[in-house]
Order: sequence, then structure tokens, then C-alpha cells
Amino acid sequence: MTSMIDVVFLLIIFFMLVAQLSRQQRVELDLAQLRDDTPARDTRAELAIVNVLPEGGVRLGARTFDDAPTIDAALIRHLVETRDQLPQGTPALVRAARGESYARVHAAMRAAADAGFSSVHLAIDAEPRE
Amino acid sequence: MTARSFEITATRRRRNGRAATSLAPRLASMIDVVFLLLMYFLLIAGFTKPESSLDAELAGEAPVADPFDLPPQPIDVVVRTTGTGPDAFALVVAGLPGDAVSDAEMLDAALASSDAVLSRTDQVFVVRAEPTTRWEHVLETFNIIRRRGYERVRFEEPK
Repeated sequence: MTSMIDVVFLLIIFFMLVAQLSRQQRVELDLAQLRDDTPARDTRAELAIVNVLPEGGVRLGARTFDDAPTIDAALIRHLVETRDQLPQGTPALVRAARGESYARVHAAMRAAADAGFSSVHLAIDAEPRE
Repeated sequence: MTARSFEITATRRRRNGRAATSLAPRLASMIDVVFLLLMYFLLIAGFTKPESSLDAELAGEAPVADPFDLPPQPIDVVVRTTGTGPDAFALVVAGLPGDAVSDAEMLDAALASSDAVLSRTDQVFVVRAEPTTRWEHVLETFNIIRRRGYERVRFEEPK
């Protein structure tokens, strides 16, 4: 009996890990903490998540695209494909570190707009700053 | 080792002809299950920091309710980074009634006092910054305007 429970638990963990890894679209970033509380919005829902990487490049899903000197056209094509798979009106979520330059974040937002997203969510730390 | 010693004790007792009812737990299996449960709960909990988001407008001009109404003049908010701290930035605001605004607190106060003059749904704010401006400073400025209820805030192409 114990061995059977062992195996069942191992299988559950295996499938959970696989599911989690395939869904991992968020790169670990030091997000901006804003001074006052802001209306909390759940960012766990399915979105097109655009990560502006501190070391250069923009990541969408498991793929990384160049963003210098200009945004890679393949990113916009990939964003269009992602948008088509999501329900209409789904926004893009742009994630960038607090110290990131405005030019790089704006380029990522521009790419989302060019791909046909009508609105964008900007990721922030859920904890407000003192 | 402990589990095996339990089994040996039980066997010896049986050979001696005594009634041997071993109530000893199987330690190895128990550790297995405990570790599996630990891994299970660790996976469920996850290690990601909780995050939130602000929504911003990307599309062009929103339609004006009355086509004969002139859209209000946009208010320009220029953000300039002055250091690496979260509050180390200066603002230059053009088009906002009242005194000149040069920092976040002044912008917040000016927006609070302009409540009666500006329309929350029609008034357009344009946030401008240099390419190297820190993102957190732009976001903080954006948040001040949105928190006061103004819905139309745009990010201008950095120059």
C-alpha cells in the first residue's frame, strides 16, 4: 500500500512540475514598488506576458527576441499569434525591472500595440512602498 | 537501520514461540511519504513574489462624446531621473492650472486642487521622458495621475 501511495504521489508531482515549467512565462525581475496602494489586479490570468530582460532582449513565453537597436519583427509576429489564441480584448502584460530604461519598456509596449493589443498592463510589486 | 532492527526483533520473537504483534512503524516508508508531501506542498505554494499591475492605454484617440466639442488640451508631464532612488526624479508639467509643479507631491496636490476644472474621462495626460529615464520613475508619475481618477494617460515615444 505504502509503495502504491509513493508512486501515485510521485506521478502527481511529476505532472505538476511539467505543467508548471511549461507555464513559466514570468522571468524573475525586481519590479517597481509604488508609493501608495494601487488598485490590485490579478496578473495570474492568462495574458501575453512580455518580459523586458535586464541583460538585453525581450522574452515572450519560452523565446527571447532582440530589442536592440530595434525590436525584432519576429516578436511582433509571435505576439500576433499569441493574441489570436487568447480571448478578444485580452491585454498584454509588460514586465520590466524598476531600474530599466524607459526606452526599452516603451519599445515593448509599442510592440504590443503593433501586434494589435488595445491595452497593456504594467507589472508592479504587489507590496506598496513605505 | 532502525526499520530493519524492528523486523529482526519481531522475527526473533516469533521463533521463540511468543505471540509477536509488531506495532513498530516502518520508518523508511514513512520518511518517503513525508518527503513526498513536503515536495507536494512546496510545489503548491510556489516561490514567486506576488505582483500586481496598472492598466495603460495603447490605442489612439478615444472618440469625443459630442463631435462639435473640442478635445481638451493635453497636459504634458515630463519625467526626469535625478538619481537611483525611487523618489529621485523631477517633473516639469505644462498645461496644468495653478502653480508650477516640480515633483511627485506637487503633482498630486495640483491634481487634487484641479478636480473641478479637469474632466476625468476626457482630459489627456501625456507622459514624456528621456530614453534613459528609470522605469520606476515613469510608473510612479503614471500612478499619481491614475490614482486621481484620470483615465487617459499616454506614454510618449522617448526622445
